[in-house]
Order: sequence, then structure tokens, then C-alpha cells
Amino acid sequence: MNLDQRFVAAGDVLDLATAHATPSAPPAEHRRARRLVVAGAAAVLAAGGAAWWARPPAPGHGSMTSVPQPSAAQIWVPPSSIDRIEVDPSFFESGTRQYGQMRSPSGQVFGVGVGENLLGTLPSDRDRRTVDGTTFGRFEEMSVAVYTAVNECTAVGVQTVEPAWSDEVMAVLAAVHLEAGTVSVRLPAGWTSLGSGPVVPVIRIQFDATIDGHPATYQLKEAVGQPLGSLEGPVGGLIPVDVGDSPGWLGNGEARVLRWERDGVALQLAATNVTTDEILRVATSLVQMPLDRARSSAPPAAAGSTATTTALIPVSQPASCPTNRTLTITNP
Amino acid sequence: MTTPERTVADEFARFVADAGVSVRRALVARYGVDVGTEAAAAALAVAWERWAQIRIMDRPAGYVYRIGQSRARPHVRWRRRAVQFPGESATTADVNAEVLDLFAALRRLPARERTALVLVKSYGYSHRRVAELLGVPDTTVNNLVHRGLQRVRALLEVTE
Repeated sequence: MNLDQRFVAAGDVLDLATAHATPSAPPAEHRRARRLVVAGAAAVLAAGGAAWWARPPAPGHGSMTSVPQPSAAQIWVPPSSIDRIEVDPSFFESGTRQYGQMRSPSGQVFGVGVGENLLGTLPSDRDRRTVDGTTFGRFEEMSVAVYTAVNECTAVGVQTVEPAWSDEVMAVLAAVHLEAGTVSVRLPAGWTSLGSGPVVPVIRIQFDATIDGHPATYQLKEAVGQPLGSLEGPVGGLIPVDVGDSPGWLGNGEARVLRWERDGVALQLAATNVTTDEILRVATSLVQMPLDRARSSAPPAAAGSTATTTALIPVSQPASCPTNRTLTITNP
Repeated sequence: MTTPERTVADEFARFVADAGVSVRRALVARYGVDVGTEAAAAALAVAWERWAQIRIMDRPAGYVYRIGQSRARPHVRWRRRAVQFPGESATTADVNAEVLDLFAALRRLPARERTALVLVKSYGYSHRRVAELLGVPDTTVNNLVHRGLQRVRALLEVTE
């Protein structure tokens, strides 16, 4: 057995072991958690959903019904070879979940997500404030805060890494208007919309490129026919840059992240240990190609393993609520 | 009016069947079978409780993984439990000896290297997918896998 085979066998053993694991005397919190899991799993199983600890399918293959992708869609690809191309599955029915982003005057990017109201009312233990007639509950974990507001039909969540209830947070919360299935954000002066739209399957491409003798691995993420704001990405600081003739945004965290739109496609290019000039040169070198042709040009294992997404199951709601949700972010 | 609980459960089931499996695999690779399984169960329970909020968040799987990490830390920090992989109990007596050697080597790796290496090499996840799950840049995953593989080869004295 070579090392690769040993790794695969180890994965099988771990899956098997975790399917039958019987941990000794879990702490109270975990016993409670397990009861909740069992309750959740029971609901799931009763609904004909996936088995909780069932042995999962091979990586890359959805466990639900697969549906074909729009293979003729034009995407942007590197002129050189592609290492890997994937189409992400989406857990959500198209139209029921919207996502958008906006940039504050200080350069911070805020995300806003909209979906059906599954909360009912805001939990009472939430840190709450009413801003311009709308009550928001604040919830934070791992330094990303979500400010949630609900009505009978819809929940909206504003995501940020800004300090709790800061001036910019208050400004954007005051701009949020929630009515039935519609959320509109009328941005105040100094703010910029990065757009919004339904959460759709995202295409991911990994490739190597060398600029002036400096090789690096680049990760490209794109959504066809969607504005940039609908392409979910990290919230945090972005600065404006030009990507060829298109306006774009550059994030300089641990990785350099470039986001822009081109011919109806929202794009995000990321790499570490590259300069701004290098990532811009790679971005402007991309060429258009139909999705199915790009997939066929990638290595067979990568293209074959990720060529499908999953069928979608709607979340039901009161009959008085609209089927879809809409999110509009309006510039000042 | 239809029954909301049923369809919410459907949606959550889809999340569990795909992302939930990834979260469990990542936590088991990081903390071992016992702690990892417990942490995954706790994290998914929290996800179920907070699904209304988590479903409208960016990268929900990564978020649930981080909840799992926070639930596993008390075990690691206060009880100093060692990472346990199959091979230490009678129920896994039939595991191939070469695979047991690999588990022994994996136990000696730093946690992040072990997690990235198992997800990429054992389950065939892309670096991008692992990066989003673990909340690190793709290149970090690349480095973790490269270094982890070097260490495993050295520990197993494999030259292939």
C-alpha cells in the first residue's frame, strides 16, 4: 500500500469510526447537545432527509439529486492551464436567499443577507436596540457580528467586524428598511453599494501563474450574471483599484484579494505572497470561455469530481408571504 | 400554510449531508475521534438551534467548524486529552497495520497540519474548500499540506 492509498484508507477508517463512536460520559452541555442533535436528526429523518451519521458519498459528489449546470455560460479563465475547477453546490433555493455588500466611508465592507424568517421573533437574550423603528438583535461569534431584524416573512442580517453598535454600524442599520419580503438599504452619504443578488452556485478555479519570474497559486471565484455584492466574500477592509477598465476593490489581509465585475460576471481573485501589480496583471490577462470547455480543459479528476450541483428544496412559510425575497442596496 | 418545520429540516438536512460531514471530518482530524465527534455533534446542535441566523451568513460551514473548535477546546485545554485515532481499541483491531502507522504519525503532527493533510489526502478536498472551512488562505493550506506530508514521510521513512 503506497502512502496515497494509506491516506484514503485512513479516511475510510475515520468515517467508519465516527459513525459508531460512543464517547465516554460527555459533559452536560454535550449531553444536551446530543439530545438536540437527536431531535434535529429525527426531524430530518422524518422528513425523508439525509441520515445523520450515514456514510457520506465520495468527496465532490452531492448526496442529493444532481442537476446539470448551465454549461454554455461564459466564464473568465486564465490563458494558461487550469489546475482545478469546481462548481459549488448551493444549499438554498434560488431566490429565497439574497446577499449583498456595501463599503463604508472608512473602507470597511459590510455584508447583508436576506432570507425567510425562521426565527419567529428575536430571541429575548439578544443584545437589542431599535434603530429608526426597526429592532435589531446583535449576535457575535468568532469576531463577526450579525445584526438581525425580522418581520413575519423575512429575516435580514447585517454582518460586520466593526465594534458593537459603532457609528458606522448604526448608520447602516438606520438605512435598512424591511417590508414583507423586501429589504431595501438606502445608503447614507459616503457609502458605496457593491451590489446584491440571489445566492447562486459559484465557480472556482485554481491555477498557477508566473509574473516576472515569480510563480504563485491563484484562486479565482466567479458568479455568472450576478453583481459583485452577491458574491459572498469576507467582510473587512477594501480599497478601490482599477482592474483594466473596470473599477474593482482590493483587500490586503493575509491574502491579497481582488474583486471586480466584467461583462456580467462577478469575479474574485486571491493569492498570497503576491504584489498588487502581480495580481492586477493576472486579473487583466483572463480570457472568456464557455464553462463546459473550461471544465474539459482541467485535469479529468478535478473536472469530473465537481461537475454537478444539487436540486433545491424550498423552505415553506406563511401563505401571506411572497415566494421570493428581494434585496436592493441604493447608493446615496 | 404548509408545515415550516418539515421544510426547514429538509434544508438543514442538506446542510448536514454536505457541509456537516466536512465539519465532522475536519474536527475529527484535528482533535481525534472522541473529541472531534463530540465537538461536531455539539456544533451541529448549535447550528440547528441558530439555523435561522446561520443560513443567512457567509460561509456557514466555516462558521459551524469554528463553533466546533470552541466546543472542543475545553477538552483539549483542561483535560489535556491526547488526539485519539483508531488503533487504540479492540473495535479497530482489524485496521491495516500500515494505516495504523499512518495514524501514529498523524498524531505527532501539529493540529492544523494534520487537519489540512487529512482533508486533502484522505478525502480529496480542494485546497480552496479546506481554506474556507478552516478560515485560512489557500496558500496556508498549501503550506500546511506540504509540510505535513514531509513530516509524515519522515516519520514513516517513506521515500515515494
